[in-house]
Amino acid sequence: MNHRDHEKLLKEILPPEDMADYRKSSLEYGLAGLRRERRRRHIVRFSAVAVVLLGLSLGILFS
Amino acid sequence: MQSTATNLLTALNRAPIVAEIPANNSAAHIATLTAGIRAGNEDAFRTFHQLYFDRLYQFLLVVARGKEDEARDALQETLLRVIRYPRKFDNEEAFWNWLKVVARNAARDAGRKRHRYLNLLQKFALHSETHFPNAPTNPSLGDLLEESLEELPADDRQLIEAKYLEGASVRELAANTGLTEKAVESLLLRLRQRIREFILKKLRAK
Repeated sequence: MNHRDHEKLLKEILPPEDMADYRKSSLEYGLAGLRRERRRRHIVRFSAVAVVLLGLSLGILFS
Repeated sequence: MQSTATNLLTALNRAPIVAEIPANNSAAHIATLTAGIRAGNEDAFRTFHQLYFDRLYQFLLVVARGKEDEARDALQETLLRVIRYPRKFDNEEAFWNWLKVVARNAARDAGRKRHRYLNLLQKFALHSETHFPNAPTNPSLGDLLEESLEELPADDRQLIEAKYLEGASVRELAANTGLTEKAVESLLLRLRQRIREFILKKLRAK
């Protein structure tokens, strides 16, 4: 038996019976996290642009 | 026998999983994969999950010393950290090493939280001996797998090897052993459970 055989065997043996459900929910959980993170980055970018524009507007207004 | 155990450790801890990645070009594939995760691409994350879920789970099961709930929590936290702090890698080995660090830290942080909570409980005179030890540096799943296989009667071991290593079908096994297909399936299930329990028990005892 080589180490890849062992890996194969461990993959069959170690996961508990409900592993398929867990794997699925883990993927969904990860994807939800990915979407949240994407939204957060959009908000950060949008806020940064808004702050710059606001600063420029105020600068022009009071100059 | 010892060398196969050593090989398993290598597979779990050090060796790149080149064979699991599409054969086109693993370095290019890893670069694309990690860049995709970094860009928030869902397909890239799906591929990452498919490729690394089992490997991370096995790694964390050892880190958590066989405590499945802790390994699962740490795995979820690891996935979130991969999403939150993505990095681009050009080779698989570096990526896997980074993933191990992220996973170990996730497990350790969860352990600290749990530890603080237990300390709080102890203040209220509740007793618990549970704690999250520091992660072992050398996972020993290979040794445990070897040990558990050695515990099995020769026939059972041959059955497991024929099914999961040689890829024999249940029908073929039934024909070879003289059992019905249902009996072979049931026997395989019992053997898997037995080996799994053996490994987890030993991990928890460490």
